[in-house]
Amino acid sequence: MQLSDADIAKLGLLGRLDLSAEKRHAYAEQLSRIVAYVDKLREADVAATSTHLRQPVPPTKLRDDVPVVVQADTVLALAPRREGRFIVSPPFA
Amino acid sequence: MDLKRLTIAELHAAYAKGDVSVEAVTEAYLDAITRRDGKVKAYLSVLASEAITRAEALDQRLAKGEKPMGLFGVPIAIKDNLCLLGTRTTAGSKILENYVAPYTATVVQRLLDAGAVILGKTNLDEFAMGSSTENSAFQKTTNPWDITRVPGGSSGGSAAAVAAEEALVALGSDTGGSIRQPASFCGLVGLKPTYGRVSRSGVAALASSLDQVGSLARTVADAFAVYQTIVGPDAADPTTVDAPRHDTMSISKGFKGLRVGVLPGATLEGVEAGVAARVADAVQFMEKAGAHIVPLDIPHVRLSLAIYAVIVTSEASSNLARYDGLRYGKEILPKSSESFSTYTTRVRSLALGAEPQRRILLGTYTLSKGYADQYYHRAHALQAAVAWEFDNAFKQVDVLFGPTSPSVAFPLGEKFNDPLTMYLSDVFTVPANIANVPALSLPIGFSQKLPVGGQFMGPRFREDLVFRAAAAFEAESGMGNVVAPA
Repeated sequence: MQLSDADIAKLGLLGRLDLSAEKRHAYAEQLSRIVAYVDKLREADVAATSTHLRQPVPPTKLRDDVPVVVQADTVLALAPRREGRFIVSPPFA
Repeated sequence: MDLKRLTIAELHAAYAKGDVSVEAVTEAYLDAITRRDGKVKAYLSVLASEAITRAEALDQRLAKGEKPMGLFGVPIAIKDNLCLLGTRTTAGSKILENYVAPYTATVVQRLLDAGAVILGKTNLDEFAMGSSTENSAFQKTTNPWDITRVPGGSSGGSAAAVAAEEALVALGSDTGGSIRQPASFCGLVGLKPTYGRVSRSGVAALASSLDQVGSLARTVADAFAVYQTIVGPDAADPTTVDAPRHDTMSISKGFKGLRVGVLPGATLEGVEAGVAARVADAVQFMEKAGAHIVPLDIPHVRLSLAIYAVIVTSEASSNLARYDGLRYGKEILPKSSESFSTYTTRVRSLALGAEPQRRILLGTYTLSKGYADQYYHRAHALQAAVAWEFDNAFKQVDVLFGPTSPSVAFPLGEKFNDPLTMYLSDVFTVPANIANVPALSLPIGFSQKLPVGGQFMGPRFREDLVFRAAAAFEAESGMGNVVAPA
């Protein structure tokens, strides 16, 4: 399938990426080639490989729900902007 | 005595006899970093003072009579997508440029508990997305065998560091070949364990159902020693499995009676003649050494790269959604009257590189309504088919053997603007991730004066068989402990 610049713009919107016209064009060309390659999956007979081929998924072993104590200062130190003991959020409109 | 040529076992013997101190060994490696890393560019951060302090403490333990075991006094490099408390952990991305890890990854803690000396954090393709380490936002690592060529990727910094004697061993991560392909390009041993063998807690995620941490070393025994240290269940990673582990002696049983399946990979189009020739030589060599060679085919293995491309991009697009510029990472000031959505979109557009952006776009596409059945769900059904076929193959053979990569290390820039061609360089490594089996690359010869890697794959949770085959090959071929010329 050939992806258009408009398709890339729409995918960018969903993926929270603002792409220049030049990037949209380059990605459309590159991703079209990749999609053409992965399209070989659509030719495979999935019905013939289904159900009996599926491996049973072992149940996920969960740990006890014990809170992990992380020092607040350690987490606060990660924020790009902070004020005292608060993370500063930009003044969004 | 060149301290950097000693294996882990030799180092431990020297420590025990008092012939050498941990500090002297650590300084020898730090000196090599100072001399060579300007050209190799393997490290993003060198932890020199921390390493010396640690070495001094270990020497005090030796002085008190402690017997060196595990990774005691072993200078190691770790890939910069592994968290180490209080150190910068960038995952090779501008969006994490200023991120200082608030905790230590389980695998790194296990290294420290075993007495390792961490020399620094190594370069990688951004979020481990790539096969050449050219996608790093910070620098392009070169191959110590030929600095005009790539070291492979995404664990290219770790591989280059070990090949250039800037570390004795290293940790990498492998989602589709990111340990084995650079090991092949740099003349090293590189292991991807079975998914579930090693904890992913504290590893910056690329594709959570495929990511696995493993070792890079100059000998099979050293790769095994690192693997033994990091392996095992972890409460912080519920996908880890308490599967039986195998003894150290099993890696030295030789080829006699070992059934080695050979896939037709080396004869496929796109494989360099020099690589195909070395693989054929290796098969002949193993047969002479007592292995029983069984030609095999796994029909759906040819779809592995397409399956991988869908699964890895789908998971990556989801995993990268957390990088919004607010909670951690790079500070980019908002413009006035900018909405939250506009701001996070701008941050991601500025601070994520081209390959993460491509994977976000492709993953968003393969997961979107109308396409998820055609791509994502179909890829999972076919992944199960590949795994089933591998299981059947391992009813006939103990291990599978083939090339690690279709080529030797390629020139810097050759594939950088052609992502599909770059992806194809992982065509032989991806199947082990898709089938979830352990796989190890080791040097099997040279072509164009560059190392060629061969790959052993084994049944799920049977790393011992992979190590046994690799140890036998190394012992009988004399290909172990090769280093790039200085």
